[in-house]
Amino acid sequence: MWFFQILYKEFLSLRPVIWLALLAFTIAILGLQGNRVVMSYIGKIGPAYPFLSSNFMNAYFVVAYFLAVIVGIWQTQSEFFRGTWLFLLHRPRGLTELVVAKAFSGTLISLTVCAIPAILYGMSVSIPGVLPGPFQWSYTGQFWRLWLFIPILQLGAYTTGLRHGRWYVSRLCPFLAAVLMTALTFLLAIHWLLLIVLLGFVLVLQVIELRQEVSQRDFS
Amino acid sequence: MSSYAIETENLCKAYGKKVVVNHLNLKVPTGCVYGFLGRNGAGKSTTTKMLMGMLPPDAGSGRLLGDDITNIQPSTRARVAYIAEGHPLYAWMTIKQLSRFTKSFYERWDQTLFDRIIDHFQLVTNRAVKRFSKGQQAQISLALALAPDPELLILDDPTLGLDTVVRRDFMESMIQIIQKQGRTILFSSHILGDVERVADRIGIMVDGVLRADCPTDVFKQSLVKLVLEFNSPPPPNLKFPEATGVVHSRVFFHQLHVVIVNPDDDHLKLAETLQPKEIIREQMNLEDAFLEYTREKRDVLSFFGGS
Repeated sequence: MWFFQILYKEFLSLRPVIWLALLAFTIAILGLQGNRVVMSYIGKIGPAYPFLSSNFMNAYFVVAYFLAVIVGIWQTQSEFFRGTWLFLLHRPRGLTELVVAKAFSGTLISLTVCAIPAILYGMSVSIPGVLPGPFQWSYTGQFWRLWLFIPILQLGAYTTGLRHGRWYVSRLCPFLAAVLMTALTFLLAIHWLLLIVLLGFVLVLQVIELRQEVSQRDFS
Repeated sequence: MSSYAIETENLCKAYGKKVVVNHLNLKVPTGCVYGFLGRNGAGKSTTTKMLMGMLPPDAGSGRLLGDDITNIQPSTRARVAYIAEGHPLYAWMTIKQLSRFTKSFYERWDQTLFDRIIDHFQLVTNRAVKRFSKGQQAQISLALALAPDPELLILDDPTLGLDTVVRRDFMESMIQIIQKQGRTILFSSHILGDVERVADRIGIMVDGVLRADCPTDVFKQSLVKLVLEFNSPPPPNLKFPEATGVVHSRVFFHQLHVVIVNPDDDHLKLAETLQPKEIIREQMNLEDAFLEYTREKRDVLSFFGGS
């Protein structure tokens, strides 16, 4: 099916970014757990209880959000740089359908790449005796809450990459809106369900914006 | 169903103040091999991108196999092959991956034909596209374009940057493709020899305006160079009198070269008023005709219309 082919193509195209992100996650986790080799390079980060301490969350989500932004920009700019939009968009599907499918492929990849190290880490620390205290999966609640913002940032960066205009002026608007939305929602500390509804609403707005960009964009 | 595979009406595109395509009325009949000519920056690529829906026009309209170019339906896209200038492909993919990727979008995909073309060009399918030469990448593009068995092919300067041998091979393949009845091809090119071999109709863009649109033979036969021979060098600013059909004139040693569309007795009478020693009528090949026709920037060029 064509969507899975786009997903696979995006995965192949994003391999360098994915490997770098996985490396950064590994370094962050090892550093936070006091790994001597890592700490000899990056210094002492401080103690961090998995998924609960702010040290862990800060380090992990700096990498995760940075990955989301890079994925969004890379997805659009690599096509412009190689002129391959013309190849992709001529496939017999609607232009918006193709551009949105490509964006969602990036979203799925970003979410998966950010989730896998955390799940593996969670599994490793859930083994009795690894941590001085008990570990429960419910500790990861705040992690998944922050994880949900990845699509917003990635789609914001993607739309910025697609948008026509100067980088430092109107082109940045979709990305800045995504950052603002993320910051506001995070500060509001709203209920889970409300958060999901709100994020869904933002995603719909982002797709509408993407559709608008596609109708005006010069893909040459 | 329209007898035109491609139709545009007053299609316009400008970048800032520069008008790149100016009220273009292009009509490509179904089953025609149409050579779309013009110098660099004439607006050929911009036109093909607008036709393919990759670039929104500023004004005017267009139809591709009957579909509005601003809203080409997937079913119509499946019937059209498009090779963009420079053969943009995912360079890190192998031919096998590219074929699998492209195939997934089409209901009608002839894998046997694709494999046959790849075999014909002796390309290794498990090698990344970036490891192939520019000419081989053009061959891969052609194979990908043909596998869905398109009714219409739009090729934007497909031989650009290819050496003579590869270009010849590419054109031979194109001739084979053309042999399939009812298939329409629009291809832009700088290489007039290629166009002369395959196109049965040509369009010439000059500064965003379609200045000629006629059968290739009509263009060659209609454009004539009159060489007015003088005893002594004529004044360097000597110009042929203004008249319908006169494209341009220029002094060349003892001669005045005048390029005219369909010269008649009136033109000859005008030539005689300049009192030349001799008037020689020269027929030109397509390349010379094209060069003479597009050589100088002018506001008005004689228009080749009709069929």
